[in-house]
Amino acid sequence: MTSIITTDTAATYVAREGATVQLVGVTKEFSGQFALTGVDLTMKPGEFIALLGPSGCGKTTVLRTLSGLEQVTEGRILIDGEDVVDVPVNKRDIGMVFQSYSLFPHMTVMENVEFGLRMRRVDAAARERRSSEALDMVGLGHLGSRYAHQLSGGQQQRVALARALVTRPRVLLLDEPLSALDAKVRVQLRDQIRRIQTELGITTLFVTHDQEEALAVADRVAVMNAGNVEQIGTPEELYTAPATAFVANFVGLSNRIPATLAGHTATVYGTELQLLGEAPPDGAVLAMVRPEDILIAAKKAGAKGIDGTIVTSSFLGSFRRTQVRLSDETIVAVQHDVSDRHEPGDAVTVQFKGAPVSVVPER
Amino acid sequence: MSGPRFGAVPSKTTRNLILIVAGIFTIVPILAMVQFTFQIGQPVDNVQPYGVAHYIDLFNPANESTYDPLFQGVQNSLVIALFTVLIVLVLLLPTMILIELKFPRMRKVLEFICLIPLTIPTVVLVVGFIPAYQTVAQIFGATPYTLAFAIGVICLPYAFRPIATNLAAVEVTTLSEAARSLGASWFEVMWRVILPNLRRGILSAVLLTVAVVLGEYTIAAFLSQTTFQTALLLIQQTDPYAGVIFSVFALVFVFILLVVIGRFGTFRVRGSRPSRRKRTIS
Repeated sequence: MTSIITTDTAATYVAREGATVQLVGVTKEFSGQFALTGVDLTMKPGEFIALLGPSGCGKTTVLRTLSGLEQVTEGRILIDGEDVVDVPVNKRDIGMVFQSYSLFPHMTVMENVEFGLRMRRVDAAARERRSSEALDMVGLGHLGSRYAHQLSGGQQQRVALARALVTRPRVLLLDEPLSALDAKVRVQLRDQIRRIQTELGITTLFVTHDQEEALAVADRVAVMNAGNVEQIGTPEELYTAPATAFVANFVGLSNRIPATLAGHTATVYGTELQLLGEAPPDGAVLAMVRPEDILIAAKKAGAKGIDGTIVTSSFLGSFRRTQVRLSDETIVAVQHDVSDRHEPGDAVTVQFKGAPVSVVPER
Repeated sequence: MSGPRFGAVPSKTTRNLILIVAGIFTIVPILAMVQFTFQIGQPVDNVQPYGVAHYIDLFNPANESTYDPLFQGVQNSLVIALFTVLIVLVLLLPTMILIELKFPRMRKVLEFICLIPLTIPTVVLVVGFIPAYQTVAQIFGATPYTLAFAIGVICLPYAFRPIATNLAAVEVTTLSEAARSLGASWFEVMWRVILPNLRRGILSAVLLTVAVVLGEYTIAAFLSQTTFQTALLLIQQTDPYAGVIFSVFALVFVFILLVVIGRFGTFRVRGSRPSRRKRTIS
């Protein structure tokens, strides 16, 4: 069995080059059910990848197989080119942060952070110094003597982050670390995680079901569906050029509007829109149109566009989202400037900007 | 208009009242026992003389043959308690942790098995033990210490419950995964993470086990072994003072155990309870 653990006792807490991580055809079976069906994923050194997907899609299973907490059924997991499938979790040199904080309740904050170093037989002085540095890094250097139950949720998760990072692991795994926190703390900690990750250059896999979180924090986002990676790309790529209808539907908000497909052109209410991704057979389809790709204006005599009536209009800070019922009873969501005010019942016209769309078969 | 709130926390007065009544029911019989042990002879002119003569008699060499079975019974019971505690710690505790970590679906099965002794009268169990103990006696000899196996079965429900409650309150799986990811071996996970967090449950299980062993009469009597309870019954018939003195000692011993568990069962020695302190805002 190969051990890739590090036992450095003298180095100061400095950035370390992240590892290359590769998952090659990883499958995982639980009692006849396949949670993963041949996952391929490559992470570059220092890259921050978010695994995004609905509940049960297998994203946590990917993280657990990478950590070694679950054994793969088939496939290979390579860290810096070394196959670690048979390396136990405590020898993989990974740092992990859990959704439920998982601080050891019988230990102080400092003892929690020191734990990984103690397991690596780091001497007491180096342990204390490195733990203090790690706690300072997450802004909790003054709380070392407290117990977990004396901290807020956000503080506990920052301690968990310091504990995971203090050993300077080659890979950092974050399993929905923000989902138990309230909205404000979540954003603060999200930004802090990203800042620290960038400073340390540690290869990071971040599991979340919150698309805003994934898009805001990751270099690349891997969208998972039914045990496999549906698409991996930058947040912009996923949003503007979803490879599949699932991605288009899952990432961001999309209107499903009846259209007719011919080749790579979808005709939506007379407007021809280019198709994203591979073209399904010609015929009736549903086009996935983003709310910001639709224009709305008060109805004027002779104005071009599709007639509609305002259903609701919501103020959402930097923009408004308005629901419009078209003449054929289809309801579309339109995102527009806050200065454009529409009241329920107002007659309007709707136009498509012409952005490319994904399509799904009409049911 | 506010009416009575059912399910609400009782008022301080109600709590104190309950405490006082429960305290009287507990303390009065014990005080009566203690008072009885200091009585010497019959009242003279309606005045009861008191002294420590009965306590001195216990250690008088002249009475050695009288009290020897009692001391032997105490010794046997303490050794049986030790063995029974070892059975709980070596067999039951690791099994419960293993099931919690690796086979959570077996939790109900183990609970069912552990609670069975509660549903079967001890006499019925002993009838079943008798043929088994004929074999046990052939292997280990007819020593009273082998009673630990039988009493261990009786203790299962009492040892199981506090450990199970403690396991349910601690996220054992997540904590062990966190420790493993930090480089801990399974031994270190058990020794440094799981056992310290189960300390209260384990100590409670030990207390209850010791209490059951010290109070167990039926098995020892049916299997013709001398334990604290069987010896107590014998001595009670010839010297009621000695019987009551040892009963009081047993109560004090268990009380001290309870205090020790209350003191060392909590790891939050330096911290306060979560509900009593304001959380820090991050």
